[in-house]
Amino acid sequence: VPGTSGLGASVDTEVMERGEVDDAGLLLGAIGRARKGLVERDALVEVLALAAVAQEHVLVIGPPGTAKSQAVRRFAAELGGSYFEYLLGRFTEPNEIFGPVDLRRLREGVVAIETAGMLPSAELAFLDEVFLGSTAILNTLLGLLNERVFRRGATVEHVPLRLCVGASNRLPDDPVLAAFADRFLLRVHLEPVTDASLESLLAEGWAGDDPATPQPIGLDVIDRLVIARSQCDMTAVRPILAEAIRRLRNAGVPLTDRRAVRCQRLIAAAAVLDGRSVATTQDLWPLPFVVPSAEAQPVAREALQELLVDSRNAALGAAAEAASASPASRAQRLIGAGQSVLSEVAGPLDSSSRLRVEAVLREIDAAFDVSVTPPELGAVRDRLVAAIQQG
Amino acid sequence: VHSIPVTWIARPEPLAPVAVLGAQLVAANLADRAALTVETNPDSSLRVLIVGADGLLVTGDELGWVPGATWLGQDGVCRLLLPTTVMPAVSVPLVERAFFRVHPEQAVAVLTPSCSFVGPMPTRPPAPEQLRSFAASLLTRTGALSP
Repeated sequence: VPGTSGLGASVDTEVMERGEVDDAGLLLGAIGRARKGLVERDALVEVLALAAVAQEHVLVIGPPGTAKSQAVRRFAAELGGSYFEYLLGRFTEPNEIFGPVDLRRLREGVVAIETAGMLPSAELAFLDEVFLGSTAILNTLLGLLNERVFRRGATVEHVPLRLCVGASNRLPDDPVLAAFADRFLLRVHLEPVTDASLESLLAEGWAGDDPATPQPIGLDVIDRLVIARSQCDMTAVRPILAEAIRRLRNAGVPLTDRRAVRCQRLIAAAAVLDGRSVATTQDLWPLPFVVPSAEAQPVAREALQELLVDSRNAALGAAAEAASASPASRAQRLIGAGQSVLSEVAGPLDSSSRLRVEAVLREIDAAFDVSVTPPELGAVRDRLVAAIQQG
Repeated sequence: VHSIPVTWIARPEPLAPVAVLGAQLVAANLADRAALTVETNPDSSLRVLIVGADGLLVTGDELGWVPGATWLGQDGVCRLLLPTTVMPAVSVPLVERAFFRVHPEQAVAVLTPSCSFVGPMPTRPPAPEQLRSFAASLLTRTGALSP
């Protein structure tokens, strides 16, 4: 699939090996199942998937009751692996998170930690109200998140952690906590669902969770995608990323050097999940998610508007659109929505199917003037119109 | 219903559609679609406003879809209804203020590249038969149906 850069350069974007594409497809399926029933949380679930492949962590900031924990739990259940979740408070003891002191070793005069079933043995973790943790907890978490090494007393363990999601109602003002927050490369700021989605929220809430047992894809899928991500060719996109970082600095949205370097993992992960082994400008969309505050993210998006114009991702369409607001990502999401509806409706439309087809058509027509509708989206629109006319 | 000479530019992000507007054949299709909605759900939140001789504005949560309609949204907290895909190259709050200063008794204002108008709040749609009759009269007038 040839890809073109927004700055005029053209590169060949090599398609990945079949196994890697299959893994990306498995992860896409897990994302789809995890977000089912969640309203306006598609981008969050997709960012979790991006983070898992990038081997980075996510900080979710939003008021209580915005489905933060539900989204993480569902995603974790679809991935499989050991999961640790804890609501931190001001009086949470380190042993509640990391495990108790190993009494047998203590008799020998060694302070070691029994980590079985606790955060150091978890592959996926969710820490709610993460900034309420004590200094002792946060200091230990620093190493665990950054180096994936657990150090406490005589215990030094490499941890199997793939993804840690922290949650908080607000970003901390305290500079010490801000330094800790910097370890979470991705920031997702949530708001309560919009007025337009209240009916969906109430209906989904009334229906309750799908009782179907998750069918975890297994963390080996993530591990293989991580390898593909580490082998992704970043040569073409690196100068453009440097330009993006310069533009962010000029707009008053500086990234720490650590965050700037780690952005590359996100861009490579975006390329891999889009089925390519070469990153291009269409993979720059994660950048606004790296900007720490809710106020600065729109500023970053505006500063990067020209560079994000090609942004799109077949697997992570909602996140790409939320981050970049690019017409390309919007078109891709609508193509996916249209194809999904078309695959589920056949023959004469009943009233429910008709409403679903109309909803997609309405969104297409409200998003693109006919004269600028991308051809592939136009083709999906034609099929949707035909379905309405046949019905 | 007037056309105001305003320069229009593409929106970086489309507005969420909260209303739909059409004239002539499109208005007839909107009326038919509204009739179907009311038949299916008599408690629907749908509201309609007949605009001039051959236009129809529909608001509510169940807008349906008809080809060729103009989808309208609200920019921020403004009441003015604007096309979802383009925006005027003038201050929207200023335009809104101008509209309602001239017509303080009206509740709805619409500005699109082809027309602008103010009007009363759209009302609950009449019976489906009346909507279909309105649609048929529009089709007759536009020549799509023989009288």
